[in-house]
Amino acid sequence: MTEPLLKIERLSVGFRTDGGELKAVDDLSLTVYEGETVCIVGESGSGKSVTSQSILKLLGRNGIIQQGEIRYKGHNLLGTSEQELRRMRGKDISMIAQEPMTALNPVFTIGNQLLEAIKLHSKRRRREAREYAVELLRRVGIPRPESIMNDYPHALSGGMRQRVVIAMAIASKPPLLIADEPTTALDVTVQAQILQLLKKLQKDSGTSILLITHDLGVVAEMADRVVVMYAGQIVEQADVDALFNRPLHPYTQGLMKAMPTIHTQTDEGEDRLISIPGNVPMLNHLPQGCRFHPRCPYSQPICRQAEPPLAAGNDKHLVRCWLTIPTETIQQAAGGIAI
Amino acid sequence: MLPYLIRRLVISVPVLLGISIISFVIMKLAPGNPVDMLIDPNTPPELLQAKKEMLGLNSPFAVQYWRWLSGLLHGQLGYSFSSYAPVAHIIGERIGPTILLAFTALLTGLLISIPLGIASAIRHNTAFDHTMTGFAFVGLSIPPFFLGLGLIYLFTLKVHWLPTGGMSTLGEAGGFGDTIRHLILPAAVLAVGIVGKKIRYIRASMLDVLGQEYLRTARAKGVRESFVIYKHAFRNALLPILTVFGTEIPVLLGGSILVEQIFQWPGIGQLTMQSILSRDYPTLMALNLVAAIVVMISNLLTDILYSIADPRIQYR
Repeated sequence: MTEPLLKIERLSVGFRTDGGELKAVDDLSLTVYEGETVCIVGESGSGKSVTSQSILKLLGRNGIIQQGEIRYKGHNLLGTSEQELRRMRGKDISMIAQEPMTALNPVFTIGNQLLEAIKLHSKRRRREAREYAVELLRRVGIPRPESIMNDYPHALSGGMRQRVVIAMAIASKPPLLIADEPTTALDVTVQAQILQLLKKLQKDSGTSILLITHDLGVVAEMADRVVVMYAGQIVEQADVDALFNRPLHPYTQGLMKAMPTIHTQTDEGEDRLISIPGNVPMLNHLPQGCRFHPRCPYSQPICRQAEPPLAAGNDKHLVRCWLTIPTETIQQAAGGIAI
Repeated sequence: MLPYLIRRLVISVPVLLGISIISFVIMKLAPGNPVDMLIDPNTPPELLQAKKEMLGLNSPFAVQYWRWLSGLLHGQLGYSFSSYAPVAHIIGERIGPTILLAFTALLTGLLISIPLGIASAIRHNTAFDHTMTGFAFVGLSIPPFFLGLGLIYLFTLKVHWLPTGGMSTLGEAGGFGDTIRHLILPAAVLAVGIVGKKIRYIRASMLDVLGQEYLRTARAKGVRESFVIYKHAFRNALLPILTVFGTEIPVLLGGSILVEQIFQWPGIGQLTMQSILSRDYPTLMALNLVAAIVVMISNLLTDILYSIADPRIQYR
């Protein structure tokens, strides 16, 4: 295969807090190829947003990238100067934020904010830029784009704002689009429209999308490949079909069971949703061994003692679970831990 | 917007009327009267009585108020009890210096506190931030009369750079440079108080905005950091700041009473003090009216500025 567009290798990201440094992302590697949609799935606090923010180094003042490499077209972003990085933001890699209600600056018009995005990375003249802005708004499906240009964000609905945010993000036709829960704050019907829009834009321009979500429905709709995160680590990574057909990690299996469908029924025949017991562990109180073991229905003694490696199953299906590793291998490696 | 303004102005009429009644009552209830203050107490009582009669102080309370009000409606503010000059004329003479002093202080205060407040917020929890917060605390807590005397001691008595007070050097032609030299100390005292208060407001307001998602959006677009701060963040931080600066104008007027006294600045503050001491009722009533109007206008101005700065606010 060709060189990946984005290659994250062994990335660890920490946060400075009053209680010391916390590791929000631990040893994460993933790749995004051209034209592909990769989804990162996980609960709140699993480190998925932090991963997406560290790509453009937009972590905020307390975030520190502790180790690893982030390569965009072979070029290490972590070694890039702030100035050069700024030129890449919006031009090579764009971000779509989670909350359309707060992602737009309330005191500037839509046109002002859109034109800013356009002018930063192109030499268009005023009128040309304005025409292009209107064209962008039309492309993301905003009715009456000329008059919307003069409106302030508060006059727009959540769905419309998210379309504006998308229009800003695609203004410079970036090869990579990072979308951090782009539909979480929206109504279900609007969600579907926004996902359709992203798909269409991807088809038209061949953009790669790194999509962060906690919604497996969105994953099924959008993803080519899926990365499942838990407590800062990747626990499973696979092509979308492989993952949905045969989820290997108990956490992924739990997520799938927790997904409501029309046919959801328990063994007793009741219409009840299954949930994964417990919560995502606090980063300063990570359990020993496998981070998922306190919530895992198949937990073994070894799960409490040692952290499982992220190992390849068949094909490129990666999973971090002792259950998927043959007992002999474990015994050899662990030197006789009782199982 | 225009109907709103008209409505606000119409509402202000009964408010002003109420204020004038209340201040008239309080003034009358205060012990002492102008005649006692003006004339030697050993003067025969008949003469004092005649003087009172002449000033109209023997009429019933309501009649006195009505006389003042009907005068006002005819554009007459009356004559000062102590100098016999028309009150409008006295105030007209004094208001210029006070405006000069107040606005120099306000402008200086703004120019110092805005950049420092922003810098303090950006460097949140660093040594710089703590130093600024400390300075702000000192500026806020130091009493103006103490600071004023301290500055006079330092800059006049010790290094002889600046005059102790007044608005121009006696016996000289005066002129712009001379006025500025006289302005520095009183303006500095007023400005220190403003800076102390405002650094904290601006810092807090900026800190609030710095965590907002739209700043990440701006950075993600590739906007340079200085633009992120001064265009995207500051415009939003400005909203709460505007509110407190609007309320600062009346506070300045009150603060100038003390400062003008210390530096013998010939403004409204000094006039207020003199009028209170001599129970100069007509002047006091006029000063009260001016103060009430200033408060109302600055509130209205704040509201208008607010609606300009924040597109989400519209008056109908």
